[in-house]
Amino acid sequence: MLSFITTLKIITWCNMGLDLACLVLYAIHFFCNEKHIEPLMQKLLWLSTVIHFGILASRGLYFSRHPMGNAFEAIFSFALVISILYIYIEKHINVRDTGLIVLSIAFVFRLSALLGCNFNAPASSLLDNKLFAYHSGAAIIGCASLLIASIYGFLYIVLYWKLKHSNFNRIFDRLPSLEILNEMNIHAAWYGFWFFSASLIFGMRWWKLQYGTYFSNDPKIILGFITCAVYAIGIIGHKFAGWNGKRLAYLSILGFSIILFSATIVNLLFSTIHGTSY
Amino acid sequence: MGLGTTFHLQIIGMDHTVADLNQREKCAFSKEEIPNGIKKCLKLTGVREVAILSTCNRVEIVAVIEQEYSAESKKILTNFLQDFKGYEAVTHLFDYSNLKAVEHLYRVASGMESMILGEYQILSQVKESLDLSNTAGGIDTILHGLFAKVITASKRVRTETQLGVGAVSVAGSAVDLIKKIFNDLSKHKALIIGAGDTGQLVAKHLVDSGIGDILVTNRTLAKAETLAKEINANVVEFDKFCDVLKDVDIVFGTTASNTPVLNMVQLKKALVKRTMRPLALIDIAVPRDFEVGIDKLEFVFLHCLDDLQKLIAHTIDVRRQELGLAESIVLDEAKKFVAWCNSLDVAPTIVALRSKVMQIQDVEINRQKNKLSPAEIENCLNFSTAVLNKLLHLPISQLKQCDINNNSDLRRIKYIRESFGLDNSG
Repeated sequence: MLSFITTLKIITWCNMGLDLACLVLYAIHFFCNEKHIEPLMQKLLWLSTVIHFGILASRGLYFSRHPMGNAFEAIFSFALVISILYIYIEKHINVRDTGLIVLSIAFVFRLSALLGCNFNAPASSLLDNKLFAYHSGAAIIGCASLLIASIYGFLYIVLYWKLKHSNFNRIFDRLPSLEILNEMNIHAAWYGFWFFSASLIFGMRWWKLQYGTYFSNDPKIILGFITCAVYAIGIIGHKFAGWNGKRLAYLSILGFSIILFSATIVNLLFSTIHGTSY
Repeated sequence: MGLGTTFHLQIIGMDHTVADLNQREKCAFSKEEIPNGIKKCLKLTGVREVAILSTCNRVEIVAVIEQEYSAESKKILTNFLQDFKGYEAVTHLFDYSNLKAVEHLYRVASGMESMILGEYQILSQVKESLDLSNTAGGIDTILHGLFAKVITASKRVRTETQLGVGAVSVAGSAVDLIKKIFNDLSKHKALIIGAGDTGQLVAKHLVDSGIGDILVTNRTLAKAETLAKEINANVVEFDKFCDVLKDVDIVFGTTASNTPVLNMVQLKKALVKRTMRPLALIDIAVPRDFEVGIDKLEFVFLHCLDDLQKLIAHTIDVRRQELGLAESIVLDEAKKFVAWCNSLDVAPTIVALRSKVMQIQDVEINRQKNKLSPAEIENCLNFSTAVLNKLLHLPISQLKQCDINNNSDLRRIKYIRESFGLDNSG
C-alpha cells in the first residue's frame, strides 16, 4: 500500500506530464497557429491547474498546516499563482499567443521545485505565526503578479523595437498589440504592487513583535522596499503623469530584476532571515 | 481510370502562368457568353456536364465526359474553345484530368493558383461561374457535387492554414500594422492627409476595419469634403491639421506634395499637448509626406511605403510556408470526392445500404440483450431481418435498374445515398 505522500508525489509527476502536454500544445499554437487546438489547450491548462491546486490543498489538509510550508510548496504555489493569473489574462484579453512564454516559466518553477527541493521536508516553524504566514502568502502572490508584469513589459519592448525598426517576423505576427501588452503590464504590476506591499507590512509587523522594531538592515528587506518604490514610481507616474508604454515596461523589468537579484544573489552571498526561513 | 466507371473529369484552360494578358483577354468569356458557350459545349459528343470559369486571370472549361482522357478527348474541349474564341486566341493551354483536375480546381478556389497567393476573391468568382453554368443547364450530379466540395476544400484551407493571413495591398497592410499598435480601432481616431485616390483607398480600408472616427484634410477643401461625405467623416482645414494631432492616434500621409507636410517641429509642438499615447504615422506618399527622422520621438511609429512593402513580403512569405499544409488538405478533399464519385456506381451503393440497415439492426438488438432471453432475441432477429429485407426490396430493385450513364439515374442513386446517410457513415 502506497503512503499518502508517495501517492501525492506520483500524482504530481503525472500532472507534470499534463503540464508538458499543455505546453507542447501552446508551442504548436504559437509556431503553427493551429486554431483548432485552442479548446483542448484551455481544457488541459484548467485541468492541470486544478490538480496542482488540489495537490497543495491536500498537503495542507493532510499535515494540518499552512500549504506553503516548505520550499517545495512555496515554489509550487508561486507557479500555481502564475498559472491562475495567466488563465485570468487569457480570458480577459482573449489572446493565447503569450501562453507559451508565461506557462513555460511556471513549468520551469514546478520542475525545479520537484527536482531541487525535498518533497517531504517539514514545514518551517516560522509559518506557525499567522503574521508570517500572511507575509509569505502575500509575497508569493505579489511576486507572481510582478513576474507576469515584467514578462508583458518585456514583450512590449520586443514589439516596440520590432515596430520601430520594421522588423517583421513570426514573433511580430504572434504578439498581441502594444496596447494590450501595455494594459497587461499595468494591471499585473498594479495587483502585484499591492500584494507585495501587504507582504512588506505583514513582515514589518512580525519583525516588530519578534525584535521590537519595525526596521532591519536585512539586505532582502531593504531590497524589498526598493522594489516597492520602483513600482510605486511607475504607478504614480501612470496615474498622475500619464506614463505609459516603454517607460512602464522598463520599470516592470527593473522591479522584477531586483526581486530576482534578491532571491538569488542576495540569498547566496548575505546572511538574511529569508535565507533560512525555508 | 476515371472518377466513376463511365465518366471522366477534364479541365482545359489558361491562366497567368501559361498565357500573357493579351492571350487571356482574347480567350475570356463574358457573363453573356457563358450560357451560349455551355449550350454549345453540351452538344459535343460525350460531354455530359460542363462549367466555364472566367476571371481576369484565368479561363477554364470544366467538363464531365464519357471518353477516357486521351489526346482525342482533350481535342474535344480544345476544338470547342478554338471554335468559340477563334484559333489564334487559344494557345498555351493547360489540361488536367480526373484526380489531378479535382485537385487543380480545389487549388484554384483556395487561392493557391492565384497571382497573389492566398487571394480569396477567387472563391466568389468560382461560385458565380457555378451559378451561371447551372442556370445555363451545364451542371448536373457530378459537377454539382464537385463544386460543393470545392467550397468545402477552400474553406478548410482558409481555416486550417494561414494561406489567407494578413493583407497584401499597401492600404491593407497599413491597417494590419496599425492593429499591432492599437487593439480596438473603434476606440481610436484617424486623420487622412490628402483626399486623392490613395486617400480614398485608405479611407475605405479604415472604415472596413471599424475605426472609431476619421478626419480628412486636403489642400483643396472641396475634395476633402467630398471624401468626408462618402465615408461619414469630418473635415479639417489643411493649415490647421496640426491642431488635431493631439486628438488623433493614426495619421495617413497620402498627398502629392513635393515637400513634407509634417515636420519634426510641428510634431514636437503637437506632442506637448498629447498624453503619452502612441501615434502611428503611415506615409504612403511619394515623395514622402512626413519628415524623415520624426519617429525618433518615443511614442511615434513612422512607417513608409518601403516598410509596408516589407510587411507585404513577410505576409506572402508566411502564406508560401503554408502551401505544403494546404496541398495536403487539397489532396485529402480530392480523394474524398473521387471516393464519392466511385460510390455513385450501383453496386457500392447497394452494399452500403444493406450494411447501414444491418448496422442499425445490430445496435437495436444489442440494446435489448439484457432484457430478453436468447430465444426471444433470436425471434426478434428473425422478425426484424424479414421486415428489413422487405423494406429494402424496393429501393434495391430500383438501384439495380439504374443506368449510371443516365444523369437522372445518377440523381436517383445520389438521392438514396443522401436519404440513408450513406456518405456520412465513413
